[in-house]
Amino acid sequence: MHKFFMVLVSLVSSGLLVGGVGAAERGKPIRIGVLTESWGPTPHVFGLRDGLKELGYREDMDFVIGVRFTQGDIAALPAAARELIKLGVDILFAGGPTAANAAQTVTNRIPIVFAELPDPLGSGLIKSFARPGGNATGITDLNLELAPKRLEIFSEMIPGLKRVLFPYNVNDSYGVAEAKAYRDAAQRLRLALVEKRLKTQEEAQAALARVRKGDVHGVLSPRSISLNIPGFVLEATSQHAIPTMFSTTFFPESGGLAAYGAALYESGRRAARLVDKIVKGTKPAEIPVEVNERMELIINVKVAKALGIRIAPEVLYRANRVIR
Amino acid sequence: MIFKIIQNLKSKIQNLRSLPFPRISRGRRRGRLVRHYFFISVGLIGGGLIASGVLEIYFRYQESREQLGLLQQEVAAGAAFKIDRFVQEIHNTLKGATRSREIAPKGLTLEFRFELEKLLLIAPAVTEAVALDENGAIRVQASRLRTVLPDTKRDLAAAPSFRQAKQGKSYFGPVHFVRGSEPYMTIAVPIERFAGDVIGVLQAEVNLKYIGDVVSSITVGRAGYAYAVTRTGELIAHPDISLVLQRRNVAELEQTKAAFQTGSPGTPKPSAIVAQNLQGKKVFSSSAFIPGLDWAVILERPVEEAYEPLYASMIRTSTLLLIGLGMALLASLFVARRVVRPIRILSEGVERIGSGELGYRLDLKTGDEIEILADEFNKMTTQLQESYANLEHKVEERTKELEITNQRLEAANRHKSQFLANVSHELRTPLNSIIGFTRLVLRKTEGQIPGLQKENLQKVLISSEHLLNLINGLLDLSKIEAGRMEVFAETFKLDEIIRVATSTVEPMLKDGRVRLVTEVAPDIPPMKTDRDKLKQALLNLLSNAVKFTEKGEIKVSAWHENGTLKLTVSDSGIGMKKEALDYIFDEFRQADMSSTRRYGGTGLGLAIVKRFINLMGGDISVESEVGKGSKFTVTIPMTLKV
Repeated sequence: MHKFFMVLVSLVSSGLLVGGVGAAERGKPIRIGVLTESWGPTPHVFGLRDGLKELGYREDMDFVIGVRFTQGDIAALPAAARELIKLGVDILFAGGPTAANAAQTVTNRIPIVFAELPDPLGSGLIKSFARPGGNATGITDLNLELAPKRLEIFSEMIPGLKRVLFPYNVNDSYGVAEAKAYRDAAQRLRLALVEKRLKTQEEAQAALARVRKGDVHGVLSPRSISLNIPGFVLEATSQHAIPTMFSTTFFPESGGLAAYGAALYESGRRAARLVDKIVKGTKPAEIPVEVNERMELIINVKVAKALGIRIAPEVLYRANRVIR
Repeated sequence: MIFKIIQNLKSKIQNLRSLPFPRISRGRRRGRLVRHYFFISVGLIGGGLIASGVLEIYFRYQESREQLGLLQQEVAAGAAFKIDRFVQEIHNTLKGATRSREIAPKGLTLEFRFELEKLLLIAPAVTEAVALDENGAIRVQASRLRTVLPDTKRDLAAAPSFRQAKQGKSYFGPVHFVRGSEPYMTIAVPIERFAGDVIGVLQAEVNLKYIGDVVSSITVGRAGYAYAVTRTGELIAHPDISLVLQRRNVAELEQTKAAFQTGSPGTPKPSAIVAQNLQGKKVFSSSAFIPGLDWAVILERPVEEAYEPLYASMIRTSTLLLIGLGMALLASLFVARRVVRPIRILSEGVERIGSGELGYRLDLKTGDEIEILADEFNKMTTQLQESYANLEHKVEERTKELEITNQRLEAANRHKSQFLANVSHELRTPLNSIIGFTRLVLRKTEGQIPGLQKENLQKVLISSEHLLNLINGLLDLSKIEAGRMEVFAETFKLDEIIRVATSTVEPMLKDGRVRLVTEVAPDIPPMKTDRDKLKQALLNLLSNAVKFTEKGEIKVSAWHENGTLKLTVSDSGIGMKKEALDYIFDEFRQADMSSTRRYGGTGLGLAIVKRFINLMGGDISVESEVGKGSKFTVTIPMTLKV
């Protein structure tokens, strides 16, 4: 049923992942295998690469990065992780909200560094922030904790926002957790959350194609790009002239209305520090999970104008970046 | 005799020569002075250099360490200032937010939220800001993470932050950790309508991770770093954020204790200490206290890196010291040699003069006391040379004189022997006539002349025979001395001679009282030497023994050893005094001169024996004791060497 878009993209070296299996040895570059459900290298990966360079690692000589992305198919993540392990990566870098968990189902030996894990404790990946205890550590952006705040900003931004659509993949545990957070927040904010449980990409596409401005006042995009739901939400923005709220800056930059969340590039850059520690011999279990507290509110005024929405000035004022 | 005198004189001159110049022993003592000078110079120069070098190194170490410490302390103070400023800036921003235009006319209204949102925007470290009214109830709030619903009422009236700020004083809370890892702090400032009129409190949560950025930017050297710590040892900021997130406590580290220690007025706090860091590595650490927050900034640098310039400087000083020492050694050696060289020349000169080279003169131009000494020495040598030349001359003269005298004496001696030989020969002829005719008269007149005449004739005969013996002896001696006595080697058996000799003396033995015993080894091979002279010698020895032995035993023993014949004649006669043994082999000497008259004899016997034996290449010795007897031992080669 699922289409497998397993594309191997090497950012730096085409011959990267064909080397022998084994840990990084002195003199050999560290092989970092990136696992993401995205459609290509995410901002984390660029952040990671730049962060490593800042720490004095030379690309190609000291480290190589290979990316495996599953194009929205989170079910394909474990297999992709296995592939990477088979190819002999030294470190798995999880570049999406669910990739780290998928990687951990495959290995408890190879260190996993995540840069986008929204709820590390809740997902059971780590035992505590100070001492993760397993083979995974990384940067969290508190995305789940931030869900109510995002909804609050959305409601403050759009006057008269009462009904908000939240489409999500029921097979994605993170999407389910997010739905719960939004549900609770909506209740407290006296908003109506319209949940749309989805199972396939086709379903998602169809559901969002059917969105009508009168039914809902805005759409909240899930964090995970599984089933390409955020992509369809993005399309709905212009197609149905409906306000949309995302978790990452990529979408308002590409035609979405607004986003509130952590700077992903910064998460990747910070993750480089953890990779460095692992390379130098510290066990991931001993490396505390860091919080990327650098939150960004991005508002695309151009889109707002096109939608005929007047953003409340108090909210606009709070924006870290306004796209005009 | 004269020769002896000359020898004596020569040896005395030798002694005279050696007296003023004690021999300078060579070898072991050579160079001792150089060493002496060398070691003294080395001791003085080297000791001084080492002492100054070590002191220099020590003080440089102390100074450099102090400087390094001060430098680090300076950096730490800078870091402390930055951190303090960071917190103060947030505090000032908060204060600024309370100075809203709306506060004075309207008091704390919902419009104040705009100020709070602005605060979040301009102060990234502030994650949440809450405005409380004078009762401690939340009026307005803004947060990056939480929703700010009006229903989320938290009562903060009892919180110390509120209570202190309410008093009009800013509040800086203790560090607390969110999610068990991230350091936060609460800052609260009063909201005043105008100065002194507090209408509420603005309270902010400050994420202290931002201080990490401040300390991370502080570097000392290559590996030096700074971190901030609370009095309880909680890490607030560290370049390695993991340590902060793991909530590592550093209260037990020496540098933490030192950081919060206040130096007493008498003993100021040291600028730096050497302690172990969290990883157990030795670090050179300085600190600065932030009084407003009760925090401290600690600066650490690996000891080996911090001390690098110190070690480099010490190595440099040590190298210079070693070079200086080496040069001092060379200089000492040079000076020592220079000082000692004239002394050595002097000593060598003395040695040469001492060994007799009196013409030698010392050539020393040092322009100092040594030159004076050398000159004096040369003067002395000149005088000595002159004295010696005189002495030599005198010795030469005397030697010449003595030689002449000697030659005369020798000639006289020769003439004497010649005379003796002639006289003896001339005397023997008439004496033989006297003996012959006396015997003839005695024989022819047997029983015809009265007893008295016969007795007188016998006395004539005896005296004549004695005289003949004497003359024969003298003749022999004179022949020997004149060198005319010759030896004739012939082969014979010794026992034959012994038999002849014993049978000759047997009739002369004192009847019954003296026994004559011979003890001849049976294996003595035939001898080849002068038979007659050996017989004569044995006969002389035996007749002496018979003559001086009144009772007891006369014994002749003979044996041979390694081609040498040993022949002894011992008796139990009157013996001789010890001093007599020295001269009994001289002519006309008997042990007791009175014995010549008592026992008869010419006093030539032993002298002749000795000369005969000597002529045959042998020797004779005697052992004797008064009253006990004498023992003569003859040693001659079995075969005469021609």
